[in-house]
Amino acid sequence: MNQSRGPWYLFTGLVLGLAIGLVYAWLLEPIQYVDASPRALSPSDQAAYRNMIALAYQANEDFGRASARLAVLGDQEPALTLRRQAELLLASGGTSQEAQALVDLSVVLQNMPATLTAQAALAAVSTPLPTHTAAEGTISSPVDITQTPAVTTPQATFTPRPTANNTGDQEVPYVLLEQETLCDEENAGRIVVEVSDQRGQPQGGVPITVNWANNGSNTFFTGLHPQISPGYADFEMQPGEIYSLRVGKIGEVVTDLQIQTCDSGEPGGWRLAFGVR
Amino acid sequence: MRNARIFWFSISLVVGLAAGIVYGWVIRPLSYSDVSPEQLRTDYRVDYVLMTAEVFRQEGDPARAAQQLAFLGNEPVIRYVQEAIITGNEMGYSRADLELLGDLAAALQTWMPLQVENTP
Repeated sequence: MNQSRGPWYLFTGLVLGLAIGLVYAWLLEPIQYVDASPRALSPSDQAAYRNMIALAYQANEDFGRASARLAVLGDQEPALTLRRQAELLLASGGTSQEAQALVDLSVVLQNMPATLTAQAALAAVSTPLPTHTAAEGTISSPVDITQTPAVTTPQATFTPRPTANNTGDQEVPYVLLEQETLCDEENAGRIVVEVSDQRGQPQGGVPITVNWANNGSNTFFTGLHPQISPGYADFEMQPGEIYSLRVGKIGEVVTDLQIQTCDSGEPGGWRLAFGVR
Repeated sequence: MRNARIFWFSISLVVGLAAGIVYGWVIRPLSYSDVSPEQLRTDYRVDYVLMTAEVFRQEGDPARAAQQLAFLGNEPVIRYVQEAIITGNEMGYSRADLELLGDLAAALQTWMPLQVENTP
């Protein structure tokens, strides 16, 4: 009878050992990573890291440095990722200052020539900060990274476009240039805002504040829908609510905005065009 | 015969155990994602501190800087700045960047005792 069992006990031992080994390697003592890159962080930690990059950019306006820092996160579309994060931040009750920083950096990234952002990213990849020491004579630092694009690119005279610094845009006295009712199905119940600068060019990263009854308020930014226009933003109105809207900090306030009833009987929205005179 | 079976069973168990560990640690370790900020490479951690210092220069708010530095782990935040200054110096950070880090360290040193005093 024993002879008929054959070598199955060996197979049992092997499978049992394998199972114990996997439990040990995956659950009890999983491999610990050290010297990780920011792209290995959890999504929430990556968001915090990205947020810090945007705030630092807002502080120093050093695009090369910000671009190099973003490159280590490995985002496929960094500008889009920044915009989405700004939207999520606002939706979750985050501060408008942080959202503004994210939008500012997103707008600048969009306006940069692809070669420049690629070179900045390449600089970050090819000159990793940590692994060199002064003694080796191959010192690298964030300064090296930020200066590399300026040295190597023929577009050395790169200057951030005016949209890059949006802290000043908030102080611009935007005025209402056009106001019209929208009766297309796509914009039913929506306030569509278009902001342009002194030259009439669409302006991204401009904060728009909407207020309604009982201290309701929301701030959002132009530039979150670049596929439409860098100066575009929109807001969904609720039935029965009356809104006022201001562009920037000292722009003209538009009041009595509510869902319109079009000739067809369908709900309509508003299109508001702001600019600088 | 019975002893031989126990012996070979033990051998197969050990071989399976070794194979499982090799598979779980080497061939297919847990994915390289969701690591904590504490596990970031030193240069990235130093650069994060530098970002905090850059923001601090503009905002001048040590409490907010401390909150941002807490992202790096559970150590006292001043320690991260001190490490960043030492490492940044070794890595050849510019004088301007080192001054930023120094300003942040100084601000945190004067700010932290106040927090302690305010604590009942």
